[in-house]
Amino acid sequence: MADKKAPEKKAADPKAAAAAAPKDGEKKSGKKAGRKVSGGAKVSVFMIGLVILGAIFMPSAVLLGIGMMPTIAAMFADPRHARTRVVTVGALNLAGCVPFLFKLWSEGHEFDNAINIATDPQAIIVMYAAAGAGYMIDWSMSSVVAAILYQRGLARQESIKKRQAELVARWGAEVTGQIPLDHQGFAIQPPEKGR
Amino acid sequence: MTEEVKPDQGETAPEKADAKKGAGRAGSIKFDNNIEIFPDTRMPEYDSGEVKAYRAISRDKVNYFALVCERHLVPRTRSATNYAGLLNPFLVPLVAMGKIFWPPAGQERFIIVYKDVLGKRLMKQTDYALDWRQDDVMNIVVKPMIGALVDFRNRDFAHGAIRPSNMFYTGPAAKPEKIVLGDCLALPSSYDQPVLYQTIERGMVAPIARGEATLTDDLYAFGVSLAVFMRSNDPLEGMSDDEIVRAKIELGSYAAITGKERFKGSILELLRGVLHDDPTQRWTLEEVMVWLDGRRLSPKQSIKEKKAPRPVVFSGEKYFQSSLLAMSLDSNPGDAVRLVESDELNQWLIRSVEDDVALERVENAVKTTREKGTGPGYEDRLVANLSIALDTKAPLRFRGLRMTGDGVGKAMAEAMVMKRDIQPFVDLFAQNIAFNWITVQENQHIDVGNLISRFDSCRNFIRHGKIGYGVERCVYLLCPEAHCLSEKFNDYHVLTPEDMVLAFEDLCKKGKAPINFLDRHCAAFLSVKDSKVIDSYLFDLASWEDYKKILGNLKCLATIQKRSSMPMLPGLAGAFMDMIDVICERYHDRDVREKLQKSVARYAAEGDLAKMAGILNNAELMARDLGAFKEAMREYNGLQKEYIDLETRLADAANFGKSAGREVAAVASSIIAAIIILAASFMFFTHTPTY
Repeated sequence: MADKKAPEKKAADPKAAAAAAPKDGEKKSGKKAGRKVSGGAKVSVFMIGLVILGAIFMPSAVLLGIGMMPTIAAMFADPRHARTRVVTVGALNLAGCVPFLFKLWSEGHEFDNAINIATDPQAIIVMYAAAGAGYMIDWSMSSVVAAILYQRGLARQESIKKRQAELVARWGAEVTGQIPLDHQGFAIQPPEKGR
Repeated sequence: MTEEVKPDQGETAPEKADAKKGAGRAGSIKFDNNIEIFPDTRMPEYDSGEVKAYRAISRDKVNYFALVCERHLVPRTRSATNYAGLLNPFLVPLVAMGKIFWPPAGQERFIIVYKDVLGKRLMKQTDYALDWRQDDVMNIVVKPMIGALVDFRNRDFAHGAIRPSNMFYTGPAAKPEKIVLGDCLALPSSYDQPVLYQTIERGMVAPIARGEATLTDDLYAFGVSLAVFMRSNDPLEGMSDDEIVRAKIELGSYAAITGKERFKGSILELLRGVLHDDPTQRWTLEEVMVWLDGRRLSPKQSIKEKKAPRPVVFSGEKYFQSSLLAMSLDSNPGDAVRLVESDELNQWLIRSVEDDVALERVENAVKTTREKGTGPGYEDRLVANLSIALDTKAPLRFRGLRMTGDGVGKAMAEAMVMKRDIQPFVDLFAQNIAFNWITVQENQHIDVGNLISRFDSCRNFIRHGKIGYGVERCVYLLCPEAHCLSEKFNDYHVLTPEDMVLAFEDLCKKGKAPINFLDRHCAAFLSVKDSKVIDSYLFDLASWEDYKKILGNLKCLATIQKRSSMPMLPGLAGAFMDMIDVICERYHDRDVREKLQKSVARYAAEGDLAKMAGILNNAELMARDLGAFKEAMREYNGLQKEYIDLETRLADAANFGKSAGREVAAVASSIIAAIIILAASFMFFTHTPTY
C-alpha cells in the first residue's frame, strides 16, 4: 500500500510532477530502450533456440560454425552496413556450405565426420570461396548501383530546375513563394524586373 | 442689323476636322441639317446679356438668329420644351436648339436658334423711363402681354425676362406696330433681369442664383415694365441694386418704382395689384384678366414693413427694419456676433420691433449655431442663421452667397466653371444652413418638400465624399440642366451619358485619351443622369488599384454603349487596349493573359466595349486561375524540397546510393544462393551422393 501511495503524493505536487515527468527526448529514448529490450529479448530467444538446436544437431552446427566463419567476420567487420553485407555474404556462404552439409548427413551425422569435412581443405576452400563471391557481389553491385543512382539524382535535379523554370515562366515569380503576396496571390511589392 | 466679326486670334485654333464636318458654305456651320449659322456675322442687337447672337438662315432662306450660350451660364433647356409649344405673336419663335462645334471658341457650345422676327430693341438696358401714353401702352403692350401670360400659365412656363429692354418692335419708333418679347432661354432664369424688375426677395439674390421664375414674378415684372413705359423719369436713377431693394422695402415697390408719377385711370389698379410686395396679395393672372375684361377691382394698398420706433446700430448704421438688418448682417460678421453676445438684438426685437415670433426664431438660430461650436466658421454660421431668422422671405445668405433654394444648382455650376471657391457651397449643406433656410419658408411658390429632399440628399453626398458623391453630385442633382463640368470636357458640351461616351471617343481618336476616363465630375454626372450605368461600378472606380479603376471605367462606358445601342467605339476601345496589360496582369497564368489579350484585341478592333468588358470581367475564370496558381505554388514548393534533399544527399558522393546498391547485392546474392541450394538439394535428394 505504501508503495502505491508514494507516486500519488508526487503527482499531487505539480512542480515535483513536472520535474519527475520525462521530457520529450527522454520519452523517445525510453521508447527506443523498450524496443531494444524487446528486440534483445527476441535475439536472446533466437540465440537460445539456436544453442538448443546446435546442441541437438551438434555435427551440423560444428560444420556450419566453421564454414560460416566469413559471414560471422562480416557481421563484426562493418557494423554500419553489416545487415545487407551479412545477407549478401551469408547467403552465398550458406550456399557453399550446403553441399557439405548434405555430405555430412549422407555419411552419418556424427561429430567425427563433421570434423573430417571441416578439416578438408577442398571443403574449406569451397565454402570460403563462396563467401568471397558474396563479398565480390556486394562490392561490385553496390558501386555500380550507386553510380547509376548518382547520375539519376543529378538528372532529377536538372529536371526539377527545368520544371521550376517552367512554372515561373507561366505563373510568374510569385509562384516561388519567396515574395510577400496578398490574398489573391499577387506581390504586395511587385517583383523586380528580370527576376 | 448684322455685324461682321473676326474670330478671336488669341483662341486656340478650332479643330479643323470637326469644323469641316458641319461646314456649309464659306465660313458657315450647318446645324440640324437644316440651318446654316454664320459665326463671322454677329447680330449684337439680339444679344441676350453675355450670350451673343449670330446670323443664321434655313434651307428655305428664312432668316434666323442663333444665340451661342456661355459655358458658365446654364441655359434653360427644360423650360425650352414648354416654350417651344407656345404659339404667340408676342413671343419670338424657337426654331431649334442643341450643341454644336463652335469654331470661334474652338469648342462645343449649346446654341438656341430663333426665327428673326424681332425688329429693333425697344430700349437700352440702361434706360428706365419711356413716357408713353397710357392708351398706347394698353394697346401695344398690356393686351398682347396678358395674352402671352395666359399662354405661359397654360404651358406651365414662366418667362423671367419680361422688361422693355428685352422687347423688340417693328414699325416707327414713335408708335411701334407690334412688340415681340425677346429671348429668355439662353441664360439662367432672370439672370439678365435688372433688380428693378425683380420682386424684393428675388432682387436680393445674385443674378446667377435666382432660380426659376414663377408666373407671379412675371406679373410683377410686367407691372414694373408698364410703369417704366409710362413714367417720365426714373426715381431710382443712379442707385445700386442694394439701394433699389432697400428703397422697395422702405417705400413699397409701387411707391419706389413710380416715385412722384401719378397714374390715372384703370391702369393704376393693375399696377398696384401686380406690384404688391406680399406674394399672397399680389394679383393673380385671373385677377388681371378680370381687370382686362373691364371689371374694376379695389386697388390694394401696398403694405410696408413695420418700422421699429428705435433703431438698432449695426456696423455704424441705424436700422429700423429687421429685413434691412438681415440684408446687411454679412457685411460685418464680427459686429453681428457683438449684437448677439451683448443681447442688443434680442432687446431691440422685444422692445422696439415687438415681434415675439422673430425673437423666438433668433433665439433658436443662436442656439442652433452654438450647438455646432463657436470655433472657426461660427461667425459665418451665426450671420446666415440670423439672417434667416430676421427675414424669412429673404434668400439664403452665406459667406457672400445669396441664392434662392432653386438657384443653388446653377450658382454651383457657375462657380465650378469659373473655378471659384466652392467651399461655401459645401459648408452650406454640411452645416445645415440650407436646411435651416428651407424649414422657415412660407412662400407658396417654393416647393418646400422637394427642396428638403434634395438638400438632405446633398448633405449626405457631401458627407459621403467618395467618387460619384461629394459636392459634384450636388451640382448635377440641383441643376439637372448643367452639362458635365469635368475638365476633360472643356471643349465639349456633354449633356447625356451618350454625349460623354462620344466625347471620350473623340478625345481618343485625337490621341488625347485621359489616363482615367471617369473622374469625380463624370461619375457624379452619370449617377444623376442614369444611375444604372454607373452605381454598380462606383466601388471599382473608388479603388486605389489601377486594374479595378480601369475595369470600372470600361464596364461603365460599355454599359452606356449597350444600353443606348450606340455605334462601335474603336477609339475608346483602342485606348482601353493600351491599358489592358494592367487588367490582364490580374490573371496569374501567362497563357490565360495571352489568350485574353488576343480575344480582347479582336473586339477592340471592332470597337465593341461591351464584349471587351464581358471577356475581362470573368469572375469564374479569375477563380479558376487563382486555384491553378495555388496548385502551381504547391508543386513548386514540393519540387524545391525535393531538390534540396537531393542536393544534400548528392553532396556525400562517396556514399550516395551505396545502401541501395548493397540491398540490390543482397537480393542478387540471395537469389543466387537460393538457386545453388535448390540445385544441391535436388541433386542430394535425387542422386546417390558421389562425394
